[in-house]
Amino acid sequence: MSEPLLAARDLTVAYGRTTVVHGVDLDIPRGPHGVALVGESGSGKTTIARALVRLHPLAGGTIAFAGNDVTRLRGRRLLPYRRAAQIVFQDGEATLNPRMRIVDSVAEGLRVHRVVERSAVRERALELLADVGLDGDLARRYPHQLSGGQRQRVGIARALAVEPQLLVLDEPTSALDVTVQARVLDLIGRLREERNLAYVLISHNLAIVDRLCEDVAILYRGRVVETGSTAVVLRRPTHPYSQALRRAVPEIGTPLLVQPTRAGLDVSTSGCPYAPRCPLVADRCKEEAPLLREVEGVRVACHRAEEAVARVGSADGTPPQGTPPGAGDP
Amino acid sequence: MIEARDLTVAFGGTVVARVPELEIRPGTIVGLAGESGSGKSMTALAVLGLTRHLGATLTGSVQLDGEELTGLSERRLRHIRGRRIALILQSPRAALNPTLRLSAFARRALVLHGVPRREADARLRSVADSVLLAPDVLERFPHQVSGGEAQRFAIALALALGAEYVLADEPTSALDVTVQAEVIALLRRVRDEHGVGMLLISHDLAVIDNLAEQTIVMRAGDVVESGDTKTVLGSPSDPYTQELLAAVPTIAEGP
Repeated sequence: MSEPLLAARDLTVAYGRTTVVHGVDLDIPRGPHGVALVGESGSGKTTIARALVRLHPLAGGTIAFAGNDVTRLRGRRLLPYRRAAQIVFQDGEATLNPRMRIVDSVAEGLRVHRVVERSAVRERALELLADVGLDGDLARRYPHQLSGGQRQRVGIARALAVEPQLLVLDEPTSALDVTVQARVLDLIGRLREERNLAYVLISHNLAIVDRLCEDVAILYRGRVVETGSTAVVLRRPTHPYSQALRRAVPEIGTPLLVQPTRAGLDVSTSGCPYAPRCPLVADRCKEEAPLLREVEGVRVACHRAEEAVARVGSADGTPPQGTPPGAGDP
Repeated sequence: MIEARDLTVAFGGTVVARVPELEIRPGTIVGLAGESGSGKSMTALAVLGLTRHLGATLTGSVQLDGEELTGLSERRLRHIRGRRIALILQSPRAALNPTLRLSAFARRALVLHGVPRREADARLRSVADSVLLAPDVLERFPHQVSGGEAQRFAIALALALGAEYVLADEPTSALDVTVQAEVIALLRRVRDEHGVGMLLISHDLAVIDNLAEQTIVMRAGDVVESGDTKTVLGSPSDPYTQELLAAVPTIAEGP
């Protein structure tokens, strides 16, 4: 593989004394290419997203963009990176200035980064809004006069205004109705080809990840537990957590077979963070945190990855009959 | 059985929900699907006579085992809300009292609804067990529990109050997918083992498909399609239902 557009190494982020992202490595190839970060609440996906665009300080690790270390850039020297890597937040309403018409919100970035001549700013802002399907008098509206889907598209137009190479999309459609979501997903799919975009997509929806991202990293409690090509990871998940995640996705026409487990017993250990919930947990898992290693074409952090693969057997993630031999009682 | 006929909720002259027919039988789940603004939540609030508190007018009929609920006094309705028909919301933590441990909150609710104080704790403990909620979770404050635990608590409280019907408004939408799968399994159990009848409101058609025998699809206040879930979601006749189904992203089969 050629040099990635963005390479994060040993990314570590802490809130006060609590470390929430533990040494994550991430490569984002040049566009058009999508990499998904998937995980449940508390997995650190939003924190990683913010750290990648330097909105949150790092406790450790490095971020290289197009071969340049951007980890410690500040002030004026950070500006080129600010422009090259843009973020779109989940909640479009909270990120737009309620006192600015949306055309002015889009124009702001064009001015700050001097993307076009001052006299051409307004025209370019209108073009960008038209490009995301917001034309005519919509451009003159205030954020509260738009629907959630429209606001999300403003967020995308704003990010694209400065002609970034990398977009970080943090749950861009999770607050939207499904028909509106479909339009925003189409938009992202079209723009990535037209503009050669590389992006990091944060999502809890595996079907969206499947549609928009070539690669995926599954996170659990601030660690990557499995990463590889989306086609492989979603169809043949290896890590027991990825398997549980895949099995839990409700689908029309397929009854969920998940059995409820007792809530309130999820205690972290010094070993594998998934051990308290893992059906394949062994003594070693409680003592020694697994590192990412290559297993059948993907990278997995699991001592028992081989057993996990054997346990599922088929691609559809059907749970096994009975208890696998050697599995400890969780 | 809950039986609603010609239910119409309006703010001034604007009708926000119009449901010609809704029947919820014990031990069955009726799914109510639709996008934001379709009138799903208004329908649930109308069944409980809560729309009047929003300043809406309600016409039509809602009967619980033959007893007409519309027009009942607040005092009478309070005997039905919670005790016979419970409401479960998307974010149960918002409905809890942040200064009370879950057990204390439940005790107050149970006593308020006429359960003798000395019975309240035992009753809560026994239903907590049936939704697999560990006893130590009950001794926590709302900010110390996860969304899934809070939702299990809401289900447990409804059962402890002896509710025969549950109106669940997006009960799994705020949950992680693995937690959602478990809550879906628990709701199934509440239906099958406790014989509870449910109205399940969800924007997620796959969640409805997994739980509901009957499905109603609403759009902009109107019912566009209703019937057997297998038919409505398997071979929908209404173009809007078809559009909704087509918009749901799915993971393509095969590598």
